[in-house]
Amino acid sequence: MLAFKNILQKFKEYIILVILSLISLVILLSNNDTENRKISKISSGGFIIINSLSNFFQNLFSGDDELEELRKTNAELMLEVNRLREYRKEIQELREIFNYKNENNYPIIPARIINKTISRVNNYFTLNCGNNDGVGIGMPIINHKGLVGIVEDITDNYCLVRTLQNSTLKLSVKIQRTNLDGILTWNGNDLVVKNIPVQYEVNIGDIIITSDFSTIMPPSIPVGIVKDKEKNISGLFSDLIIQPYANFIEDNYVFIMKIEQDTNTWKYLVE
Amino acid sequence: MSFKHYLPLILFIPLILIQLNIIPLISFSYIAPDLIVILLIYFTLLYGQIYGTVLGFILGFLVDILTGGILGAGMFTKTLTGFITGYFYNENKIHFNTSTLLFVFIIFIISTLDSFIYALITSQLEVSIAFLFFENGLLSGFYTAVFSLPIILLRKNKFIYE
Repeated sequence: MLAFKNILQKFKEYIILVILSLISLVILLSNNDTENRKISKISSGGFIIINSLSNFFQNLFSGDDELEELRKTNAELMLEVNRLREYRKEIQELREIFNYKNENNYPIIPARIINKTISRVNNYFTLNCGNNDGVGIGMPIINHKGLVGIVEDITDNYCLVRTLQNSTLKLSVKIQRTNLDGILTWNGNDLVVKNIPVQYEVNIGDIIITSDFSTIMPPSIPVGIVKDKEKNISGLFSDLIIQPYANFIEDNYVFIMKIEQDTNTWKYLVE
Repeated sequence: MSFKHYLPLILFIPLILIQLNIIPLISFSYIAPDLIVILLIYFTLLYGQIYGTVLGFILGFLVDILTGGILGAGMFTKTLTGFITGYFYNENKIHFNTSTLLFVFIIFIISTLDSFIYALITSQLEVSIAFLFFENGLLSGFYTAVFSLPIILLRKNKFIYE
């Protein structure tokens, strides 16, 4: 017994480290448990209220209503312009088919970013809209320039957004001019569309939009432009470096595109 | 439980508010300083390894649930951070450790490890470990170390007591 006590005393730092690390790892591995998510939701919901109070003074004198309305109009126009671009191209390609595509006028909900988690690997932010505003998991987030991210989790009044600059988000996109599809990922530095065969013509400045093949995003939302082209070691493929239109670090106002997503499917696709 | 147990938790609230609201404004190329690591390292250097390990666990848990990140990742990383920082603890050199450039150096080393391990756990990036270490660990560690400079100035002028 004494020997056991001595061992405990001698290695207590390591014992504490092992116990706490094991608890952390168990929680980490059971991250998708409903109970864990509930705890996280309740806690972050409470904290966001405190956080909102801290933002109160920032917005007290800003008189943002009109500006917000203008931003909303701007975002709607941005989507409209892009849709029209798409229509023009379709008309050129398929003259006999008029209004080939279905209308996809999704209503948009204005929202304010109330906090941001910045890192090289995974970036998130929280919005002041939630279940009560009709927000659902998987809804795309845009601003007046283009796509910003996607709703990952919601509480009654707030939602957590996974940005494009997140290693866990893979998005189906295409080059608007050539209809060439690819998968957009975040490599820690840039947004990249990988493994584009070199024989396909891609120009610097080509516009990247969400693809019709995307199961988590509606098509034709502007994402960014091709900034650079890098050949793979094999020489057969190239990676496209994308300059996103939207910069969530600088912006504080975004819009949620109100499209219904099947939560289970979305989670399966994203996780 | 004495005041020393509560103080970092009290300081945590304003720091996490700054971390989530102000730090993004001064982030550079998605590299941001981690104020919570500075808090953890500072108190570990004051009170020792066991204190640091437990504090790391608690602060990591709070960060995970408040920022919407991956639950458990911050807990694990910060627990390790507290434990490793404990090796720099010396009860005869507390003032020296926290009021000289050694403090900034410790912050740099530990914060680099913290960012690197966190990135290793949470990242799905298709990049090498060396890339994660340099891009995510070193740069973030350096930025965090810069932010710890005011602490040594305040400690030197005895604005902050143990």
